[in-house]
Amino acid sequence: MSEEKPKKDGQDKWEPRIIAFLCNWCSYAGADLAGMSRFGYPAPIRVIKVPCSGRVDPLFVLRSFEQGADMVLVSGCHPGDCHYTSGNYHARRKLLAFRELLTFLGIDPRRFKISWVSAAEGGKWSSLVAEVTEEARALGPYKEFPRSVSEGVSDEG
Amino acid sequence: MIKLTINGNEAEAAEGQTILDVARELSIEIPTLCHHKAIPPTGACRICVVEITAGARPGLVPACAYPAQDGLEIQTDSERVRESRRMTLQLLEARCPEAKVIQEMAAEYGALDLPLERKDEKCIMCGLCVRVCKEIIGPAATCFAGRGPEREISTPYKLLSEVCIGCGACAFVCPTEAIDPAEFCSIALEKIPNEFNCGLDSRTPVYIPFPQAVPNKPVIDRENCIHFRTGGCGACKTVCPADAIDYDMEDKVVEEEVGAIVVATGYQLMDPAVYEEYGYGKYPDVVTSMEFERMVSASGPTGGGLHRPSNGELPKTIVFLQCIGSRQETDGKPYCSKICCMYTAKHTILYKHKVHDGQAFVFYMDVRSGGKNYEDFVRRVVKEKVATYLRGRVSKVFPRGGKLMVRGADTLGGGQVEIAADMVVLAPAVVPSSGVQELAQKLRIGYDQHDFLLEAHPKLRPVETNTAGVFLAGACHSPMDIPESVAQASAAASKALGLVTHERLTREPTIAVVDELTCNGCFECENVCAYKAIERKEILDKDGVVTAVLAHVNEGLCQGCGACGVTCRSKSLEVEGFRDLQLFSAISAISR
Ligand SMILES: Cc1cc2nc3c(=O)[nH]c(=O)nc-3n(C[C@H](O)[C@H](O)[C@H](O)COP(=O)(O)OP(=O)(O)OC[C@H]3O[C@@H](n4cnc5c(N)ncnc54)[C@H](O)[C@@H]3O)c2cc1C
Ligand code: SF4
Ligand code: FES
Ligand code: FES
Repeated sequence: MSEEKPKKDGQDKWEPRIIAFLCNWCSYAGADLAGMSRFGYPAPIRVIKVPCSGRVDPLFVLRSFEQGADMVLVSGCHPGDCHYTSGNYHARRKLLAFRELLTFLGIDPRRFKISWVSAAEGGKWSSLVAEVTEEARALGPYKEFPRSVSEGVSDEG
Repeated sequence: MIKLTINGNEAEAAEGQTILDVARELSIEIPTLCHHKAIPPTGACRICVVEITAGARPGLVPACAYPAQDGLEIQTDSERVRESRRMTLQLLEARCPEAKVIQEMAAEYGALDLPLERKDEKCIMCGLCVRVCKEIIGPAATCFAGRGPEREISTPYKLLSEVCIGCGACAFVCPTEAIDPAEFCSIALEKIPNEFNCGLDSRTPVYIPFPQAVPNKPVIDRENCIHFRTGGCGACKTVCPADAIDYDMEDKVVEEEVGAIVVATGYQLMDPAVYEEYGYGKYPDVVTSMEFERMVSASGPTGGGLHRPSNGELPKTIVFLQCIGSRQETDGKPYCSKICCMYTAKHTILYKHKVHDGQAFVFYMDVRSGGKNYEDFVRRVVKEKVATYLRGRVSKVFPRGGKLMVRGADTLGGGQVEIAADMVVLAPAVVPSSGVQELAQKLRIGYDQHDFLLEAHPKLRPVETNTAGVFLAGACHSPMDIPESVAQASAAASKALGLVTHERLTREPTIAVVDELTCNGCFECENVCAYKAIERKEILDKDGVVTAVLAHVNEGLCQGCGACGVTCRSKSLEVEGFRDLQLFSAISAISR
C-alpha cells in the first residue's frame, strides 16, 4: 500500500511519522506538562492515549507500521509507579519479548521504542521526542514493511 | 440471701462471701496484710479484725476469713477494733521497722510507741508468699524455715531452688515488699517489658495493653503466663468477679464482608542505634523522643517524674537532637519527618515544667513549623528562653565524668560547641509501621520507595487509593501530626460513607467487559488483573447444570487498565472506550 503515503511535512522536506502510545496517568500527563511548561518538541510525533502501557497490544504496533509509521513508541509510568500497580511490568515483559520477535517478522527493531516518562517529566518527554525523531530521521522512510505481516493485521478488527 | 449490717448499713451477701468481701462492696475500708483475693484466707495477721456486736458470739474476728452470716451486726472501726489493731501493729512495727506499709499503718493507729528494741526486718511472716507458691502457682519453692524467733521465709534447706520457675508471684503478693526472689531463685527472673512504655517499666502477663485501649480489656500474654507455661496458677480466673477468664479461648480468624476499608496503620520511629555517634543503646541517658514522651507523661512508667535513667537524678542539662535519620540522603531517609520540630519544642516546655532551673538545648537543621499557630509556638520557646536553639549537627556524644558530652557545630554562632549534658533526647525519623508492605500487597494498594502508602492523586484524591473502596488516614500515608491525621481520617470516613450509603455505586464507565460468546474460561486474565476484579461465573443450562465457567468482571473493582484484554487469547475482554476496534481506528486516523 504505502508507496505514495504523504510523508511530506508541508514543504518538500521529508519528516518521519512517529506513532506514540502513552499511558493516561504518567506519560500522557508528562506530555501534557511539557506543553504547559512550554517545552518544545518536534512535531512528527502523533499520540494515542491508552489507559495504561499494559493496554498496548503488540498488534497495535504492527498495525501502526502497516499504516505507515516510521517509528512506534510506547511510553508508560516508571516501573513501580504504574497507576494500576503492575500494568507496566506486563508491558515491559511483553513488549521486550515482542521486540525480539520483530527481527523474526522482518521488521527493523530499531524502529520500535519503549520508554518510561512520569507525569512530572515534561522535560524528559520533550528531549525523548527530540531524540526519537532524530533517530527516525536518520533511519529514513520505512518502506520495507513485510507484506506477509501486512496481510495479518490489515483486516480491521 | 444473707442479710447483715456493717457499721449500721444493711447489706446482702452471697453464700461463701466473707465479711471483708461484703464490706469492700460497700466501700467500707478494712486494712489487710495477709489477705490476697486469689488465695484462700488464713487469718494470720489479724490486722483485719472487726467486732461482732450481735447475731453470733460477740467478739473480734478476722474479716478476711469470717464468713458472712445472716443477722450479723458488725462494727469495723469500734474502740475495741482500733485497740486490737494498734496492738498488732505495735508488735509488727517492732519487728519490721523497715516495711513501709507497716510504718504507715502504725502511724495511723498511733502504734509507734512500743519501748522495744527494733529488729530490722521487712517480713511479717504472714505466709502469703508460701501459700501463693504452693497453692496457686504450684511448685512450693518457698517455705517457712527455722522455729521460734529464727523462723523465716526461705527455700527448703535454704538452697537455691530448683523448682522455682521464676514467676515472681511471691514478690508480687508480699504486702511489705520483703521478698527478692533472686535470693533463692535459680533461674533469672525476667521482667516483661511494657511495650507501651517503650520497655521503660514492666507489666504482668495479664494486662490491659495501654490506658484508653479500645476495648479497654485485659489480654493474656500466653508466652509469659504461668498458666500457659505450667498449667498452674489460674489466679486471674479466681479473682475475676465476672468470670470472664477462659483459658481455652483460641485466636479466631474473623471474616467480614465490607464495602470500604480505611488503612490507618500509622508510623514508628527508626532505630537510632544505627548511628553509633549518638550512643543510643550504649549510654542509658541517651533516649528517643518517644521514651522521653513516656517519661514525662503522668500515666507513664515514672508517673511523670523525669530522672536520668543511669542514676535517677534530675537532669539539669538536657540536649535535644533533631533530624536523626531524617533529611539524610546518604545514610538515612531523604524526607523531612515533619513532626519532630514541633514535638521537640513541646518537649522543651515539658522539660521546664519538670526541671524549673534546668537548661535545655536543641540542635536543629531548620525549624519547620508550618501549620496553624506553629511558628508562634516555636517563637515562644525561643523568646522565653525555654531552650537554646543551636543550628547545626552533632558529631559525637560521649561520656565524661558522669556526664554526656555533646559535641556539635553551631553554624550560626560559629565554631564547635561542647555541652556537658545529663540527658540526650533523639528525634528519629518517622517510618511506616512494620508489615505495611504485606498489608499493601494484600489490599493491592501502592506504596512509595519508603513504604508510605500511595494516594490516588496527590491533589485531587488525597485519601483514596487506586483500589476502589480502600482509603488512607494518618501517618501511614506520610509523616503527619495529630491535627492532620484527624483531618485525613475524617475525610477517609466520609469518603467511605459516601461509597456505602448509596443504593448504587457510581464508577468510571471505562471498565472491562467480557464477551461470553467467545470466552473459553482459560482465566489467564485472572493472573494479570491487579485488582482481583476477574470473577468466575458459572453458566447453567435450563436444568441448572454448570456447562461452563467464564470470566466475569466485578464492576466495582475493575479500574479499566486493560491488561486483561491484551492477555486474552480469544480477545473476549475489552475495556469500554479503549476497545481494539477503537484503537485500530485511531491508528488509521492518525496515520493519515
Ligand atoms: C515523641 C512524639 C511526640 C508527638 N507529639 C505530638 C503532639 O504533641 N501533637 C501532635 O499533633 N502530634 C504529635 N506526634 C505525632 C503523632 O504521634 C502522630 O501524628 C499520630 O500518632 C499519627 O496517628 P495515626 O493514627 O496515623 O498513627 P499511629 O498513632 O501510629 O496509629 C497507628 C495504629 O495502627 C496500629 N497498626 C499498625 N499496623 C497495623 C496492622 N497491620 N493491623 C492493625 N493495626 C495496626 C498501630 O499499632 C497503631 O496503634 C508526636 C509523635 C512523637 C514521635
Ligand atoms: S520536622 Fe524538623 S526535625 Fe523533623 S525531620 Fe523535619 S526538619 Fe528535621
Ligand atoms: S498507568 Fe502508566 S503504565 Fe500503567
Ligand atoms: S488480713 Fe485478715 S488476718 Fe491478715
